Amino acid sequence: MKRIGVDAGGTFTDAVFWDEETGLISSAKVSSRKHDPAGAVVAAATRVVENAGGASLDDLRDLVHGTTIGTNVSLERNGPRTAILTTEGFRDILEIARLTRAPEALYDLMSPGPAPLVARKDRYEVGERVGRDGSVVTELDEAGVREAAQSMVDRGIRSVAVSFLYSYLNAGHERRAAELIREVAPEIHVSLSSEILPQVREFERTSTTALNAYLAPVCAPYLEQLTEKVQQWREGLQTWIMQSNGGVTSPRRAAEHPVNLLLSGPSGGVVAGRWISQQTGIANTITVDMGGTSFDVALLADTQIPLTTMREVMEMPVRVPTVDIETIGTGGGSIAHVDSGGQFLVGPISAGAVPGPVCYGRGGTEPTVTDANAVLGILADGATLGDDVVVNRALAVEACERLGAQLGLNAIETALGIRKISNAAMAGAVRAISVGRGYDPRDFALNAFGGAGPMHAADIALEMSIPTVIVPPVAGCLSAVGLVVSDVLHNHAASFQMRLDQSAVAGLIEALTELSQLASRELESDGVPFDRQTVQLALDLNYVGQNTPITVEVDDRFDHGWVDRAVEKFHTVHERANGFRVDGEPIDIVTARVSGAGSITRTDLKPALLSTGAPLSHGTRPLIVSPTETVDVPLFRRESLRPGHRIDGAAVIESNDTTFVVPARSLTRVDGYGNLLLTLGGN
Amino acid sequence: MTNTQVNELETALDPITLSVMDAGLRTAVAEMKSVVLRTAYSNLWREAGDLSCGLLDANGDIVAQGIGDIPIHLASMPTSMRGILAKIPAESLEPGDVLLQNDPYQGNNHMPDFIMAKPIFSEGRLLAFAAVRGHYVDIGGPTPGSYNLRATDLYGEGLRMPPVKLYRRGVVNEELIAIISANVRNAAERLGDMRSQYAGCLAAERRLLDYCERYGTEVVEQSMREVLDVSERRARAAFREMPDGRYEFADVVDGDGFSHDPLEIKVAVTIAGDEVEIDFSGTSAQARGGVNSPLAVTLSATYFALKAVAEPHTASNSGSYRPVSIITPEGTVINPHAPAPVVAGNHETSARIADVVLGALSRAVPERVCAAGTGSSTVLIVGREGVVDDSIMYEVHGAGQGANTDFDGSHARRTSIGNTGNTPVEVLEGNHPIRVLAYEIRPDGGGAGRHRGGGGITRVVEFTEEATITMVADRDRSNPYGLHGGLPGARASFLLTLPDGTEERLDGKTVRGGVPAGSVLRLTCAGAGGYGDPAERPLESIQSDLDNGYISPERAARDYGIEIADDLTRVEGRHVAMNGANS
Repeated sequence: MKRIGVDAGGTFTDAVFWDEETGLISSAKVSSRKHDPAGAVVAAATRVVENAGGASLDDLRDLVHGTTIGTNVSLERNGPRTAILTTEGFRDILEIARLTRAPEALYDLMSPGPAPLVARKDRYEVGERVGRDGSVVTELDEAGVREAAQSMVDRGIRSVAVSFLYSYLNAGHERRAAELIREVAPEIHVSLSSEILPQVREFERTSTTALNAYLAPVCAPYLEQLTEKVQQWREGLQTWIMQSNGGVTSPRRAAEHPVNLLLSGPSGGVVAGRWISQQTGIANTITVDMGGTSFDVALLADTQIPLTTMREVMEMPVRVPTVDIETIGTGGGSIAHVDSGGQFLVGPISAGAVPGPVCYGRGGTEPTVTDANAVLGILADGATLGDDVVVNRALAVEACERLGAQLGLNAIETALGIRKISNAAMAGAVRAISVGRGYDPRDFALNAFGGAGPMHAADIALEMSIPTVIVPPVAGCLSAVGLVVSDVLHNHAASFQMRLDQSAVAGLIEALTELSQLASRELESDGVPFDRQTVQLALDLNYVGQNTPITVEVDDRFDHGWVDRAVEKFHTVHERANGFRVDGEPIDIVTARVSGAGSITRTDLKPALLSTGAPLSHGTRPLIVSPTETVDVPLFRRESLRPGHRIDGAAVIESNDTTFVVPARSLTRVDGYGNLLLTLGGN
Repeated sequence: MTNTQVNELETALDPITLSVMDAGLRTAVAEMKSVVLRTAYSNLWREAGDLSCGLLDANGDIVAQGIGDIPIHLASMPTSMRGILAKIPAESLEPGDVLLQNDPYQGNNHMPDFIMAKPIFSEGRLLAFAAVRGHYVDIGGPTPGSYNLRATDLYGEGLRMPPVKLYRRGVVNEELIAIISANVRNAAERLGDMRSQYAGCLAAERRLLDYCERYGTEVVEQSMREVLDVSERRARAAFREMPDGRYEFADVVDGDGFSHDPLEIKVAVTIAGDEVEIDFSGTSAQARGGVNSPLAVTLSATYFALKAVAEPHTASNSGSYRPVSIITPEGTVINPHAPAPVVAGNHETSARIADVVLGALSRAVPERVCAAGTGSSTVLIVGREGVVDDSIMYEVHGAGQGANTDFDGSHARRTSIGNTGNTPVEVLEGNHPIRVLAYEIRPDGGGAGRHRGGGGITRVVEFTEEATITMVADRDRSNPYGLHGGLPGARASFLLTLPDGTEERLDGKTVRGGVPAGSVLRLTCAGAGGYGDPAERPLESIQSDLDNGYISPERAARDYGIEIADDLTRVEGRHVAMNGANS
């Protein structure tokens, strides 16, 4: 069977054509279309098939799509007018939020903070109240709901978030309100907080639900249009949409829960990270994806996709499970400067795509990380990037010279400094996600991709004592590969306020079983047969009195030792993350979680036979490694490296989409899947 | 200072290493903070974040602080640390020691805030301190929550902890723990929070020692020194840009809980080149009740206001404040003699100290200062008498932002010296004997102006059991000032309705025991000041405020001199703002 993965990004839409048996057939890159993103998806699919040189399309079954549609709406804040319906007395939950000003605005008394997503006049209150035990205190004012719905119609509002207090304990009022709104105005999209995030904490639940309501009127038509265009292009092709949780779903379900699409794009990269981890047999990896404007890092312990519920979008919390990626604003375009205290800094301002780095010759004047790489010879003078950019080293040297004059450094020292400072910032992000959470980076391999990732990976690895660097093939469109090797995935959760001991088991079994059945039904409706479903159970636990729960996976044996196993696992994870455990301290269950995965593709490629012999170099490249030292290192083209090839010591390995800088005292080999595996300190 | 720097580097670090180390130090503090937040027990810490983390050098100067920490906690860390070192000399510190204190007369801010500091040693010498300051929800005394406004001295405000070693060479002092446990309500929760402080200190220590191993102890020491120098240069550069001159301002605190006589805070800010002198001479004598601001608080609040105007977007550390001298006459409400009570000084008087410094600076750089915010944390504490291990509710409500030259003030956003957040209603009701009936933005709270002040918030609470309530609030008798023609914000008010319908108007500083079940408290914090002449406010902005219910038609007509028509067919709201006859 064959599949196509299409990863839509801000600038380019990448596609891969994939055979389950043999892997990559072809890849393609087309320009994204802001006003016709679905058209760009089909164009990329068309192109990647053309590039396949006549491969049979008979067994082409799926098109898997990673989309930035939700992200774009949230970044540009150009979503539609949205309403909230909430419990009387609580219309301002979204605007009051947690009362605090943003951490970076601690001393900023002037900035107005984010504008509320929903204008106050569009926050409708209705009489109703559920108590803290889930019982109804005040009946729902049905006439009030109808009146609010009519007002929404009058105002041209097309989407509403319904979020009542304690709806996670009793969803009756929310469901009834949805019925009433649909009676009055069937055209209004209704998002219920009891469906989107049935969990305690009204602000976070309302915020997540409001974002869902905000995105729905944009995402639903897009997904419908996309499915239609894909059908027109190739009838019978099944479309799948990547979600923020690292799993795919049907376009229909994605349209209902668009809040799950906010990290659709970056998810693909993390899924690819898991796949590479399985392939190389290196269970612990840290993925680093460095592009022009940002550096994304994720930690995959034991081949698991890391999830978090603590993300913010538009400065609002989104508490649905999302791939846990740390992002810092260090990219090729980060600008180096000297501040009023005389400190040498790189970023956070970026030259972006326009004007871009100075060496692109498009009018940039301040040196960037990319310029430093050009000065030092990592990017070749005169190299062509993309369609029309030619690297002009002389411009980069001038810019570094100008900046260096303020610091008493020459151009070379300045360029080395820019690299060192940006590498330290990226190493800091790697440190935060590893050491900061109790993982020892020495137990991990760094999996580097994105256009700039492989240029900096070895330095970051050395800084963090990470022994191995992996550079996967097609590092420039790896996210699209992640799409074609992904599973269907649905997460479900229920708030659960109970002590973790034997007395809780019966209730837990009931809750987990119910959620499992729900997950199974959803997988079935996505077309995944029962024998291809796997259900995983987990509990969010904390010591009684704490309130930052830790998610601990549990088994479904429910035997006598079940609770003890969960307890011990919690103590262990708490100790790793926080440095201590308190044996004997009672533990609370906060949330019961179920994730249902449906396997819809094979991911077990066969490795190629390893060839012996040495690779052919394409001459040498002079690299500036210190203010006084230039080293001629062997230059290789990636496409001429074969499985089994080894490179001893320093090298530069160039491909169309990135450059891998290999330091001295290292060994690089190509594995049976085409991954470059760099062992540092080896020989 | 007492410590000796051996092996001091002869030369400055290169700019690249300095930049790398600066980022590293801040990462260490960020990690520290996330550990404390993840492991804390009290709602006040884990939900509302009433704690701060810092990395201090061997002299006790703060080098790096947690991003988004409580400003009033931070600039006072050095004074608390010096208070500790005065009693427990640096020479007597050993690896594994952990220090603790809360004494406002030995450099601390107020007694509920305990600072825990762990000395960090590398190559056999003292390198730094990792410090976490957190607000203990209860430290004993007569009222749950330990905001005893009836105290006339420090002894009435709860457990006083002079500088002590909580750990000695890695071994915890169980006797000390026993004393603390025996003196506070809900000791289990206090000890849980204390454990999270310790975990945070350990995290920072591990990180700093990693850096020592990688870069060398001398480089880490040198970078801490130079990070302070960089901040000093940034501050001087910012002060130089501000016009030289002497700028005065005064404002009041609305009484001390015993008397409603206003306490005046007076300031004269003198900018001269790249230095600033701030003189509080003329400020009222110290008060009988606990609104006195100990020196640590006064310095913190002053530094905060200056930093907010001069350079709000750069890192804050002890270096930022080297070019600043502060004159604090003794025996006044901003520098009281021991043992004057101080519990409310920390966030009420301190807010006014920040307000007057900001007000003075508004005369130097009008475009860079906003009108007064709510100017009070407006704390509500709810507890039950005689309940063992009662979980005590502590919630802040002060949340209106002053308007400025470019923007209206936000309605519900902590400003000034605090940044403690709220606790979700669904969490509050589960832990405390209350039901929240409403939690919303206060209409008509913000002062009118070309830009309108933030409205602040209102909470309506029903008590489900008999309760003891403590209010610590200000601005119920004075108004947050407007600037450049903007009107002041509305005053705070606190109305208690008993089950029989009797209404009691509570003072901002109140301890009220025996509030019967079924009573309802309507708590309304002050609004914030407006900026610029109200006549210059565009009609469409007024219309938007009307449609959104931020302002009533009556107030719109009065404050802006406009006329309001009624149009029942208008879908965005029935009130229509129109230019008045006199415009």
